[in-house]
Amino acid sequence: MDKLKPIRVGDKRVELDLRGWMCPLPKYVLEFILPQLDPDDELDLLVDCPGAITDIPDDASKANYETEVTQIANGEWRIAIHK
Amino acid sequence: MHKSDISDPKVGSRPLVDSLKHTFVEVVWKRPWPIWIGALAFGFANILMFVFARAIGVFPQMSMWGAKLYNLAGVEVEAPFIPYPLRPLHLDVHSMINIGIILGVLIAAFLAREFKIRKDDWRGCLTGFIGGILMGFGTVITPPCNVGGFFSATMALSLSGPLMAIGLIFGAYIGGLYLKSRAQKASMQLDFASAPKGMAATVSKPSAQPYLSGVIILIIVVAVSVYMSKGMSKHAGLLVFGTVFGIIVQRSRLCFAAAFREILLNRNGSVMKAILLSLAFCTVAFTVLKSSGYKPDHFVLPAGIHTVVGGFIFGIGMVIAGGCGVGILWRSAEGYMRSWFAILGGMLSAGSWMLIYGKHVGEGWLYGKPVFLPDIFGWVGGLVAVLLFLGSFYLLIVKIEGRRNG
Repeated sequence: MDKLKPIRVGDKRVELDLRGWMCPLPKYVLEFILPQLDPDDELDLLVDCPGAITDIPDDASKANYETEVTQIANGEWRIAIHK
Repeated sequence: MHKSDISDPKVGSRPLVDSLKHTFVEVVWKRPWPIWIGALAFGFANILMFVFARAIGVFPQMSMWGAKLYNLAGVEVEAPFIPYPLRPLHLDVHSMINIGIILGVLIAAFLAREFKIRKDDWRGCLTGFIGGILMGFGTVITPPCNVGGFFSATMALSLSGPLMAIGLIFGAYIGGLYLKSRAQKASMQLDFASAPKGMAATVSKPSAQPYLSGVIILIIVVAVSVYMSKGMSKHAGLLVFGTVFGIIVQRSRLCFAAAFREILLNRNGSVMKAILLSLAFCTVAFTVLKSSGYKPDHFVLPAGIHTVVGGFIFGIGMVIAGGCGVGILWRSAEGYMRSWFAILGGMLSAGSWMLIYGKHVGEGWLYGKPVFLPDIFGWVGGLVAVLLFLGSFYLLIVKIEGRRNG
């Protein structure tokens, strides 16, 4: 669980699975990974922590990113993050 | 999103029904509530519960559960808190609050389709367990837990409440530093450029999970009816109050661990500011009740160095476990395996206190005397003292937040 393994799911889209990461880790990780993201890429974060669906959009918008939250299963969400 | 419903001329009175349904389903049960609504609702429920029977606190009951476990395993030990003696869970009036919280969270999480068995690896479970152990010891040393020792005690005009807050802030900061270092370490190995190709996660169909909330409501109705029929109205009432607390924390995500953790770590006090506002409101209500002669000693707890030290230990524990006493009950009902281990750790450490210390909580060399602020300053003075503490805490947060931007 400690390794972050992103996958490329489209030309301009990468997906990072943070399911199993309890809050506030998804929020703390975001601070470190956004600077590493290619500005052209969209990042899809998969989370299963209900707190992340408000925390991550809040923090991403402070860093001038836009977000879109979609529930993908019971207790699981995809947060699409892009410039 | 609901445009088609409203513009359809055939539906007649439907728009109102749809709009009410939208308000109830989406705003109340789907979207998280604003944090200040959660904090005020939590405080208001606490005032009502105090009038009904008692204010909120959850860990002394869990320490009784722990002592019970030891006895079941053949180790004879008394429960550490005198007002919480060994009793079967279903007969223990205080445990009704905890059970209610779990049931209330289940109702809310099912309705929002947010329940999931959230598995963890052994390290996660161990972290939860250690966090629980620290919280258990924090509870018996302070005493008691964050929601009882800080939230309820402060509004009850007990000096111990503000003292515990000092320990909690620094403990939560230490716990937060650990979490942040883990996040940083994991992020350092990240490489988006060399990410292998893969399939994007798919969206599954909405499940029948919301209907399960009906089962939980049925369980509560049956339990309440049984208690009422046996003349145990306190049990029935506290179960319902617990349920209300559970719904409030799940919907508003009112997390005391986050409130304390974020102040120094990320210079963000938004959650704590909402809690302080709620506390100010509750303190006035408690002062009115207590000064009229209603349970003046309620939640007036021992105060001394141990309160600060206990709060510090509890603060570290609640952050690494991912929730304070209420928080781990709440997450355990959302399916977090880590919280199950945190509850077990808390039960086993707090439940062993009589074996370690040999005396009950509040007795012996460790504990100071309970300090009731109105005994020193009078009723108005006691109220003003607590409001001054809350105001100073608020201003301190504003100052800390200012440094983040400056």
